Amino acid sequence: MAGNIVSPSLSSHLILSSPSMAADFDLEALVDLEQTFYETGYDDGFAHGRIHGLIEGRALGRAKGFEMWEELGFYEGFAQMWLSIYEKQGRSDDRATSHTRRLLDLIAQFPRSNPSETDETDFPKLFRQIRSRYKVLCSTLGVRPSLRYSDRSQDRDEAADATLAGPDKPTSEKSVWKTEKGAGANAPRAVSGHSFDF
Amino acid sequence: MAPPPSYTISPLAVLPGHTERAWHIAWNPTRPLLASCSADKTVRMYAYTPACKFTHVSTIATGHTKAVRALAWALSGRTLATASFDSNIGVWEQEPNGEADGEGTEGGEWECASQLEGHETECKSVAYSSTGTLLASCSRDKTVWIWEVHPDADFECMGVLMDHSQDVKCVVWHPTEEILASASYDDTIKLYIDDPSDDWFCFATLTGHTSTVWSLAFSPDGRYLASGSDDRTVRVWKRVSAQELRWECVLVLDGHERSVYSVSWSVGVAEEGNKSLGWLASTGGDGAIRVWAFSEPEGEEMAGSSIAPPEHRLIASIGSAHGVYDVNAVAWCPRDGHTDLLASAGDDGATRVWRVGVA
Repeated sequence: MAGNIVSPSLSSHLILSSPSMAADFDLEALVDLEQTFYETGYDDGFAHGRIHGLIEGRALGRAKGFEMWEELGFYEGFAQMWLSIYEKQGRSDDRATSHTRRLLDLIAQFPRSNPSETDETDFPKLFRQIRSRYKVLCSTLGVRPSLRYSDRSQDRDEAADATLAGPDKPTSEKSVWKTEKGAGANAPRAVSGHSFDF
Repeated sequence: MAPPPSYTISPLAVLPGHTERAWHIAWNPTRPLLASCSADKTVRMYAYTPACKFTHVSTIATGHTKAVRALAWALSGRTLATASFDSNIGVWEQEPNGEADGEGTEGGEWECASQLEGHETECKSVAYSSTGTLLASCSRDKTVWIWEVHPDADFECMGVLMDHSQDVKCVVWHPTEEILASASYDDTIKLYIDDPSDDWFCFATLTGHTSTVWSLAFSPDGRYLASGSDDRTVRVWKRVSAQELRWECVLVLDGHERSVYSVSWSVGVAEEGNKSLGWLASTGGDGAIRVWAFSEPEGEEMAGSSIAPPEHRLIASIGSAHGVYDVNAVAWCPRDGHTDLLASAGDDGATRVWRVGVA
């Protein structure tokens, strides 16, 4: 008699299907239903996140790059100014001029475009060398470093405190770097005096 | 072989006077003077006779606005450098008062010949190189500055080293070469040398301590470096290869119950032949002073660059050297004939002098 030996899928078909529901009913899909929905959702989220991540990454890179070069630009300008002052004064083989030249050399080594995958430039080390050279230069010139690398979070707290203290305080909340007030004529006399006469 | 002699640490002098904790002491290398500095912003000078009688001869009311943390004498014995929490390094010279000097302790007032600015926060240590031409300073701002000494108290900044990631606690120079070592709150010791283009750089980082390294001392022959740390151990590092500039830890000395704040290594009083590597004194928060004697390990002549630890023996120790107070510094006297004298500075504001002798 037909119908005694039946395959499992056929049997499920037979059990659940009434004569009207002749359409195929794939139970295999139902077994991993949650998994399927999860995977669809995951892929969606991944693609979405990737787009946002790229946007955020680019913004972060831009901000960080700006910060780095803001500092480096200051050092470069500082060094170039002092180099031209010394050359105008005729003191081209002073210790200070060699320091300025080395500082400018180091800054020139800093890449101005995105480095390739194989680029081995050690950014933090180069930055440290540049900062050290800047401090040595300041010390040789007898100038107190007016631009000091400080922790950003500390500055943010200081700015927040300043706004709380009173709106009439002339602190510039926008400045990222801690600047020394009175780094001009009233500054304490450092290692070597300095004259600006040309 | 005769049993090794046993030693004792006997107190020679107690020199109170500072109104706050005494941070550091330094023996003048050429004259019988001992200087101590303190949180009370002064430097006190003591003169001693060949019979080791100590008297207070002067007090320098330094212009520092905060505690004076460390002292170092220049090679000539005529110049003193002070490191202060006000972030400046003071360089002091004594005015000649017309008398024939040389070995004398009399002299004029101590005047500030120069103030080295540059550090941003508290200076922790200062040291002159063995040649006397370089001065190193370090600070809580994580930097180590190297200055070149020129005539007339003129100092030129040779380099600013920013290799440590935390507060730098101590700098010491190698006894014969121009190698600088620095110890830091970041648990490491860094060694620096200058390359021919006169650029100072860090050529080695010694890790191993599990906490702040407070103090460093090179052995008199320059082949070993001792370090005292907050992890209560003293480690001895050996130079295994001079050409490759490699140093390895060969010994860890336990025994202190609290942080080790200071170590000092000197020739001591040699007992047998040339094999002695000197005496190392260590002290710290437990108030104890411990003295170790070191000598060459066996078979050292054959393998010049082996990493065998030196033979070591605790020859003397004394507890509660400054009573219940922490001992901040110990220093051996470098002058011939007095190499068994040890000075210590404590939180009680006193400077004490001890003699390590055979019992």
